[in-house]
Amino acid sequence: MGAYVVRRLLWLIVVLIAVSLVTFVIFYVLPSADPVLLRAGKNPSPEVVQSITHTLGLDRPWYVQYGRYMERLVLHLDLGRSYQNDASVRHLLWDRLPATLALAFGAMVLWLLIGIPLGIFSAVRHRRAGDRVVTGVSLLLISAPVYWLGLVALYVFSADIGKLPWLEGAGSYPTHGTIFTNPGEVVPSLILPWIVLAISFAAIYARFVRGSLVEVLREDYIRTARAKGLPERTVVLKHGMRAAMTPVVTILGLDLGILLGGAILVETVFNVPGIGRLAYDSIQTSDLPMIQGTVLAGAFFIVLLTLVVDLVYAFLDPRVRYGQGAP
Amino acid sequence: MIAARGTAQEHHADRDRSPAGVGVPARSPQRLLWERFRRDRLALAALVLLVGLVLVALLAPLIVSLVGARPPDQQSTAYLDAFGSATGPGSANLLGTDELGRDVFSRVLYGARVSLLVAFASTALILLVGVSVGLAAGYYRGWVDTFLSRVTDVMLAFPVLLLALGLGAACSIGAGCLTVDYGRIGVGLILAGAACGGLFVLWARSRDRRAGNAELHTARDALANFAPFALLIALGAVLAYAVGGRGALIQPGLPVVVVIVALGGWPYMARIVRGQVLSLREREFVEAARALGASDRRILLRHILPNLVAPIIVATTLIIPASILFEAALSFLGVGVQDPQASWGAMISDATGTFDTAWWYMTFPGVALVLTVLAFNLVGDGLQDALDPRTGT
Amino acid sequence: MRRLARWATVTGTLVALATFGAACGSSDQGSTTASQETSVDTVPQGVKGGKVTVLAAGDVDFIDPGQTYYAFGYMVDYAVMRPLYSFAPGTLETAQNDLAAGPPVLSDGGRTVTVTLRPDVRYAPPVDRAVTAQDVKYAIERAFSANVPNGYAFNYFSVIEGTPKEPTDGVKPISGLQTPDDQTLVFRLKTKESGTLVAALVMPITMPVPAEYAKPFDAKSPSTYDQHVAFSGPYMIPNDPKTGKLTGREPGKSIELVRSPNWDAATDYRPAYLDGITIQEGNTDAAVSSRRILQGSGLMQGDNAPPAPTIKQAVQRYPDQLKFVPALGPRYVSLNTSIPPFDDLNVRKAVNAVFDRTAMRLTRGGAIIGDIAWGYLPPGFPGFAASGGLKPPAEFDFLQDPDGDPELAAEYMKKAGYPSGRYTGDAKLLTAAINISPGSQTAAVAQNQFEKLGFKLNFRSLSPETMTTKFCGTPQAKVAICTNVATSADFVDPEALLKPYFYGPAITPSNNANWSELDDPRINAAMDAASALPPGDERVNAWADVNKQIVASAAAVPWIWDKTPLIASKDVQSLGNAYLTSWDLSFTSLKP
Repeated sequence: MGAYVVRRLLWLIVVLIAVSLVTFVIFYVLPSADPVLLRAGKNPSPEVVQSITHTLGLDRPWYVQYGRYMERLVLHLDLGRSYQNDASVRHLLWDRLPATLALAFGAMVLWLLIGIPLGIFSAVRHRRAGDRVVTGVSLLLISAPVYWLGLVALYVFSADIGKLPWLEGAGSYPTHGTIFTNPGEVVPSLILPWIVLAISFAAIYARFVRGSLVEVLREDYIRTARAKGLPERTVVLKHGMRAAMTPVVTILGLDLGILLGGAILVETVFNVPGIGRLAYDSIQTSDLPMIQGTVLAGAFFIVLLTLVVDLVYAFLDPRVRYGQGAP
Repeated sequence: MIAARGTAQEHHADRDRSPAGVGVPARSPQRLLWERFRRDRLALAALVLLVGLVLVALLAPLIVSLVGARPPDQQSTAYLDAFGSATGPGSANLLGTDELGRDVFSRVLYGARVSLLVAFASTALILLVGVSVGLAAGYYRGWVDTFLSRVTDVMLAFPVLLLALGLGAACSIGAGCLTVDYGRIGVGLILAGAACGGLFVLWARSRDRRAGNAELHTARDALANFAPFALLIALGAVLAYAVGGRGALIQPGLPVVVVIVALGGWPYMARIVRGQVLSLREREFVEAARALGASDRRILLRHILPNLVAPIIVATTLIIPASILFEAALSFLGVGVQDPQASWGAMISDATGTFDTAWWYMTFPGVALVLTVLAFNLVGDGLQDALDPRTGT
Repeated sequence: MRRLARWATVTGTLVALATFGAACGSSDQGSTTASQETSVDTVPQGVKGGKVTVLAAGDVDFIDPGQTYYAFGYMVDYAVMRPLYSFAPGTLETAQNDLAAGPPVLSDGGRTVTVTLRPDVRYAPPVDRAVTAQDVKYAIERAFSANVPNGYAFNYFSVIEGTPKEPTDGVKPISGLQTPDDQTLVFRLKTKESGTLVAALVMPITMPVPAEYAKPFDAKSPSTYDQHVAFSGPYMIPNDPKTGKLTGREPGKSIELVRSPNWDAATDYRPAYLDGITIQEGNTDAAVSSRRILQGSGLMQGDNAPPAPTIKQAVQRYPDQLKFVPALGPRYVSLNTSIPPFDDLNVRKAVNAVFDRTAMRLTRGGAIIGDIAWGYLPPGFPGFAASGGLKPPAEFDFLQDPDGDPELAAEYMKKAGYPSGRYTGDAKLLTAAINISPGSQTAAVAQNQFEKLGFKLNFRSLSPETMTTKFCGTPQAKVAICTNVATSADFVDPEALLKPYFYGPAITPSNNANWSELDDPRINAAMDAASALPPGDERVNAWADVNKQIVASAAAVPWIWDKTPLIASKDVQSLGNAYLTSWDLSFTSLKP
């Protein structure tokens, strides 16, 4: 078990290096704006431009720059400074992390609370009226783009422009404090984004749980359990769900990983100052250190959560540990 | 000879041997599929809706002129007030105008073109890359598998939306990316595909004649195994020609969007295919074939590929709606097709500043998106249920 | 998102030049040293005390006065530091003596400019001493060093003797800057053309920087003075009392401003009513933040102007909370005169004739947001009246109809050699446009205008940074049309609005501002002549004439002289500063 964990951790590091390299090459070779020229003023002479290039360290070949970047990262955990306003990338990322964390985990709790019971309900009432309704609504919600749902939600419920102004609208996330230090202001501002994210994902999970549970409930050992006279509730919840949950855990890990890397769309619509919005802004201005930082953060979370999920599996299922059938 | 089992084509040998002379004609698997699909009313309705959508996309200019609406890129200040605010749905403009005075109805219709085009083209690409990688990784195992799987993992670890944004932004500079003649590429692909197919038929025929091998009944069988994939790739090529060659539909930015969407989707396809191949290759009929001395290639083509059709179709039905939503998300974030080309995601993005007072040009493109994606999802669900023999009613 | 006002900087006033040029004898554009108190607006019944929050989209570029060059940086810097001369809100006519005790004195035919400083301005802690002339000298010298990348020092201050040709390694003294005593700063120039330099004394480069304090920071590459700025103004950013490191600034998040303990109201024309100001960044959605400002309390706008629908709402529901301040330059669509078909004068005239400027203006909010532009000097700017004012110039037939004149345009196209009246070539013209609202809508309308004449555009929707650094500003990219040009004067003199953008020799291989790549020898010569004139009526008229010539060349399509809308909450009152094109923090107060 220990060897497995070590192997996976090493792989995490390899992936991060690969991701950082690819990102660096893409955004260096195809930069969308020139950070030197953004500081150079009107009609600068070539000498001035050259001087700024040198000051920013951008006149060295890309692999040298990459090398220095990695060196700073590994030795000092320093992700560099933003080209836009000279802020420390690590500091900004750390600052923005609580908002993304709050958004992702809050939504996750909600969607699990909604989606899983609905999925069970739907599976149990397979192909009957209840199932049809749940499936239909789920499909509808999955088919809607989450940012559009967000706009519709704002239109209806936002405190400043909504027809039924019950909830805080976009831009109400406070500047200071996080959900831990200032829950009084943060939580109301996140309710609407939580709901929007949650109903989107709940639909997916409801369908998933339904499909998975329907399959499991057909298995022989379920028939045996029923034949033994166990109450249906025990059969479904205890035996059925245990097997049905494994694929759910997998996609939960993946989804959470992606959300933690920054839900750009939701953060944009609701003006939540998270990592996703930071990434989007930095891409627009070709702020390479910031882009690198946000992409690395995103990749880190995705791989980390995949690792956690795999570890949970390895813990539960010995076959996985010994190399067979590892996904 | 032990007849190889587990293929969808096995009925051929048994076709005429109905039990005891009773006249129950055996139905081909495709027919069976269709029958079961048809029974699902909702899926059928969705299919009709889909066909309708494709028609709308193809015939958009006709519909617009029939209804009497203005062309989608015709700006007009006549429908803006003194502050530049748009007018809502009314007799002059069925669904209202946007902030430049353009008719929302026309733009929604034309937006279907972009969404469907990107969906089909990128899915074709995803199939091409994803299936090849998944097949190779799953079948050959060893270092091939390790290498390909690691690459897939790295791709999966990438925050795809960010990558897409970066590439989109980068590709907007200079001469842009992927500025080639798509018409020629499309034609080239079709011709190459046809040539390869023809060559393969000839080769298989000659092998047949020489070896007298019952393994490969006819060249037609082999071709039939290939058919679904060839069809999908040909579809993409035809689309490329139809739009690239004429140049009418393809705009700067569209090919980039297709590639970016494909870039985001292929790892999932590769993973699914690899998983399926891994389990398939352990099945008894493959063991049997190998015991009979069949080559790798034959096993792949005759046994494994046909059994992949069902899961791949299922995966495709999930990928197409996801591609549509992904393209809309890219347009929403400002990457993708350029003005004045209408795209549902871009229309929603334009509306974000004014949707509290001008609800119409946020709502209608959104509804169109939901309907389209819903239709694909319903058809996909219906197909899934129809393909799964264990789902009884 | 960055503001579209890319080149916004401090404006100079033309009348200030006249005022400054007292020794050169300019006549009646305002009395000489009386600028101190008379024309300063004060907020009606300003209440001392209280705090206000400014909602901003982005961050300032720099607090370091040697590096800041964006409008928002100016809004903050001019509240915490004092340059030699600056502008009070509401007027571009007269510059105030700020650090300076009086207007600059020209001698030696204009080759020497002498400025006398006030003795009683003090830095905030930890520097905690009086500002001296050596500090201003050092501030200018450091802007020429490689560690302090400055965007305009070489353009406007190279006329000083002893300035280097390229950025120096470390801060080197400039021989032409002399400080015979602590209160006197003498500029010795290479030529007699002091007009530009004098006008540019309002820019942040003249904000004092204490040498002994800043030297260790400036030795680093790039300089870290930005995190240790010394404050000479009514407000300061809280800092560490020992090291001077800024504690009140969280880049990307917020900036705190508090009263500077060493500021003496008697030394300043600014009232500085508020006790503190918090700048809250990250409000990138202008519609959302504008709504909050209008409906909330204690809030005011930073760098994010309200979009057109919000302006409409404000006009209809909150008229007392909305003010307008004129922008420092026109908006126009540039045509690259070095690329066919725009190298043909008739084609350019046709484009000017067909353009529906009213439709363009509607994308930004309609008539309330500004006047249709026919030239490059906006209302209130020197040379505007001399150029003909608001009415379309009678001598140009292609500039008569704000809605566009398609028949006339067709005539010009025929003259250019297209008998059908429409463009028949196959070239797709590379067009660079902005991808954020409302610039994206304006670009779409502009594209429409070109299509009326049969042009086919290779339309690229780009972020402002990409558009400037990779497309329009790079002649090599061969961009034919740039749809979203908004110039802004660095100081208040027509040269600032005409020379960088239309002067042939100004074209540089990167960050070129002359997007039309206009290089007309006659216009160049006229600009040289006008630039050499001393401040005064003659100079203004000469530049107005240059303006006419540029309009005649149809090198671009000016379409609006717009105004920047400023909004504040109902309990906040403030004045808009025409030079900063924003609210003036030093003139803001809560309503009593």
